[in-house]
Amino acid sequence: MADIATRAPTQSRDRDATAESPAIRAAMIGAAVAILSLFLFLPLATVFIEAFGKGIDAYLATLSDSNTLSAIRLTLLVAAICVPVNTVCGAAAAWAIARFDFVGKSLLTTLIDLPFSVSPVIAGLVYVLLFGARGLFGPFLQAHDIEIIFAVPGIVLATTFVTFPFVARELIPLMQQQGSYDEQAALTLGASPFRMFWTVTLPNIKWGLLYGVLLCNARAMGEFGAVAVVSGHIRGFTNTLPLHVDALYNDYDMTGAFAVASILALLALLTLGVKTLLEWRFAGELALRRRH
Amino acid sequence: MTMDIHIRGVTKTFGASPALHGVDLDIQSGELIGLLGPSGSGKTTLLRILAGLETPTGGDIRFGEQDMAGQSVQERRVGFVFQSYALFRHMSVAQNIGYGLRVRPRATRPSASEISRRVEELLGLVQLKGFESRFPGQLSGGQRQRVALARALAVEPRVLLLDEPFGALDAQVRKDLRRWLREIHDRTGHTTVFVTHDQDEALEMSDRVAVLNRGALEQVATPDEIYDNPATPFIYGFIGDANRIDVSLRNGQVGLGDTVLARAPASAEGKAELFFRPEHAALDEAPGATRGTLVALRRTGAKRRGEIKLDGAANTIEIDLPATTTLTLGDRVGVRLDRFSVFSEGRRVSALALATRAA
Repeated sequence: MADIATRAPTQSRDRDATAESPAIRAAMIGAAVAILSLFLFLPLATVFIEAFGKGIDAYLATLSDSNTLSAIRLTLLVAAICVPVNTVCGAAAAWAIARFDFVGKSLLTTLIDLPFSVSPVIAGLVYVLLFGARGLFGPFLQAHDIEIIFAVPGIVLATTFVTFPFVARELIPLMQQQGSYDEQAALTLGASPFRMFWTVTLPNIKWGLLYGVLLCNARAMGEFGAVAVVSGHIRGFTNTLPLHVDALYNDYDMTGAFAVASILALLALLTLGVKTLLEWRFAGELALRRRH
Repeated sequence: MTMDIHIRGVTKTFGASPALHGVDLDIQSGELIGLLGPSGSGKTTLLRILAGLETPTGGDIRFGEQDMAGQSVQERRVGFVFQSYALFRHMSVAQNIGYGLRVRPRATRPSASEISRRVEELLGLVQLKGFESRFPGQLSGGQRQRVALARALAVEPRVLLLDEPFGALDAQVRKDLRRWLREIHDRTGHTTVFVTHDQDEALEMSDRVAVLNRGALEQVATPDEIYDNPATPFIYGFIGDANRIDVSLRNGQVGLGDTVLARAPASAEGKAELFFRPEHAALDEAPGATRGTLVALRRTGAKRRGEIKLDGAANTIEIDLPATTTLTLGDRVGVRLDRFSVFSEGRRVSALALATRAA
């Protein structure tokens, strides 16, 4: 194609048919950069400017506050539970959908998307209606002294629900496209199903899985709506980082709110950084896979 | 250790649609057999049943004396080569070939040095020495197919099964690989079953060809037998070129209009179909030959193809003529059939084989 284009230029100058003129190109790149700065970079910068508005001491004071430390711990704990659970369940669901035909398969596929289509607040509310004091299982839970709503289990449940689709959504199209011949080949060569999974399936899906896990993690740490409904906002106990930001903001503690927000922003940047690093580190392997 | 295979009454149904109904086939130890059929004929299903990748709905499979029912894919020790190669793309060529040895349970797993010695040996066999550290993405289609074959051979399979092994390759590479695969087979002596929809491939490579159509075997025979004496009208149509003319069976004779073409059992009566190949007919001016008119003449490679309207036949037939023929369109000719088959309701009722002519 490229040969033909250079040998027989139909345009007035030597230029690919699909390329725009330099002026249009500059304008489009400029517009994209301007929009990105306005909507992404500027807010991010504001977070850090506001956070350090009253000096580094005030910033560190907020961070070392026991309520903040407890919010960080809770957020990490929730992510540490949700992400592995959703990784395993998401991979299992993707496997089932991509590899088998069964009754209700399209229903399952739709259900996986449910957390994305339902407002997170509704998701939280559902758990309150199920496990709350006056909820369906409320009396039973009270009788056995089990706390779910306004406690850590509720937050974990709500976050798991909201972040469930990330891994499964990433893997289903990938596994469908790859098909199962590699796995069949491993079986005919004598590999046990367990061995096949670790040596063939997992390496084939590891990039999709990693993306899914990173996105799932980012959302698990940042989820606000569903968690806000089930947490009860007990400072030092059931406030996650986003809830703590909200609480400080409502106290008119701008510096504090932005200081905590900066931690969330840093976690997000860290996630992005890890993703970029992995892409860069394994760029060669990725390119090879695409050519194959 | 290579195996004879016995297939008895194997059926397979997917949902409501039958893919195989009652296939019987015996494959001798060390034989190279081609499963030939159009798409949807059940040939790949049969191959996958042999490998244990599919479970038959009914029937038995035996490798030697051993019944395969309930034997898992892993226990069957078959070498399976997929049409799409199914190479592990994150592993090098050497790792791919050694995979089947590395995944063995510790008790039967060869040592690392033994594995690399075996991989080295197989790389030599498939002529890919020097490629051991390449990845599948860096190989051509033909090279990938050879790696896939080496990987299947590494586990010392009892039988080698190949699903459309050259289906995704260029015509020239295909031709080379056919010859090469036949050589590998002759050297290693594995019982080999391969699936193809390409008649040239099946006829050129196989010791015997098994022709499948709509889930049933039409004929199992040597390539010569399949080509020269097709057992069914389907094979005439599917393999090579063939002419078909409507004939009638009367008083133990096969007739076309008033001309008697051959003898048939007296019990056969009514309409029948006569099949013959263009190269199994010749011009013959002897009295009693079937007469007709030349209606078209085409050049086909080294020969010419003449299209003739036989007197009393509804359609035209094609026969091979020398390139030097002086015939022109509209000429009256006599045609002699050296070899043909007559089928009535799908059953062969009469045939003439070349041997009677050569005498």
